[in-house]
Amino acid sequence: MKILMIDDTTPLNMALKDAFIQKGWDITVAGTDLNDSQSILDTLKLADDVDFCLNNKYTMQDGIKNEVHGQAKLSEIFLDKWDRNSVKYIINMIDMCALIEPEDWSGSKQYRSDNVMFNAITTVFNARAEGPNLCNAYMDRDDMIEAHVKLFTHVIENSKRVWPSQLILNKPLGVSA
Amino acid sequence: MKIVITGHKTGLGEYVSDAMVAQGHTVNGYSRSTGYDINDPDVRDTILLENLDADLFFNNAYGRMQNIEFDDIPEHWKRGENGQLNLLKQFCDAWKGRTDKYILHSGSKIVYKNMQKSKQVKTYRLDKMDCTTLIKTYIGLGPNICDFSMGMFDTPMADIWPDFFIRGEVEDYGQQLVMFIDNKETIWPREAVFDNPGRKEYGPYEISQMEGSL
Repeated sequence: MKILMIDDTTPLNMALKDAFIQKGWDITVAGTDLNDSQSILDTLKLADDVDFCLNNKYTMQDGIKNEVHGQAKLSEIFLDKWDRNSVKYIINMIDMCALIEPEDWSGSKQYRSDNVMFNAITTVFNARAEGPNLCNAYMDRDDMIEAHVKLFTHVIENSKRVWPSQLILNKPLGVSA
Repeated sequence: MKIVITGHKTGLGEYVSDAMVAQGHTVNGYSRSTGYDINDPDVRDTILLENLDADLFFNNAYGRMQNIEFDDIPEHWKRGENGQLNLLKQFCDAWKGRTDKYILHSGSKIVYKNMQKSKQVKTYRLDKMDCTTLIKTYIGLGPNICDFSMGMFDTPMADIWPDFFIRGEVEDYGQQLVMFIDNKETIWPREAVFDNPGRKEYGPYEISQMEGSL
């Protein structure tokens, strides 16, 4: 497996990288600056050398409202680059707040807005019938790290046989943080 | 762990049942071939009453389609009469508010499509949509429910749908389900939509429909 990770600095992303390396997979870390359009475009240069893009980095762009944020832009250009390519895979890590009603969300409005927009863009893509294989994973990136690592490793390991287009990854009810 | 499985004698139900038994769990299985037709309200009541103390219910059997020809769907198969939907309702009601209970529902990716298909496929899609809609009303309440939607794969029910490409194998999806059950204490997907990679799932029926519309 040749996997492009956009980030490897958060606890989850570090744990994912370690698990992937243990599997013997070939990992490239892009380290993209999502506030820099050129850095996002430069990331695309790595697309030909990998099978997977793990779109796992979010950066809030202060003062920018109602614009497509860096993580969504990155997803768009990879979807475009790999259009109709059924052997390429993209995993978009989207915050669960994208599925929460505004009145039920107490966090940053900009953060929720960015993730809602990201969700809308990629959900439209998922209605298409051809590649690349896209997985939108809705999750809390700072929680359940071990379980997330196990799940994503399993998903990637079985990617040639079965592939999730959508995963809404909840913590079981009644389980505290 | 005590697990209830409908349709445990074939396909996905059999795969998960075997895997759970191999792990040492207690599996109570109910299948048409063993005398349990979930379209019968008395059978559904029996399944529920015998398993109120179970930990996980795998709502796997669909309950329709066996040995039915295309365009020959019985009139009594009205929307809402589906055995899988009604058994799901019964377990949801019985376990309402129970955060220690789990339901794994065999859904279908067809819910997310809107293509012209035969009358039989439309009926199937509506049934699965009704299940998905019901599950959404239980989000955050308990029991923990996972709507596990799948693409077409090689299972006995697929034999009567020759117009589709069969893309996957039972074990492809079975392995995912077993992983979800194994990890249920730490992560529980409320929705999971799976298909086989490549997604070239148009069969002769869809292609003929699309060509006809040009």
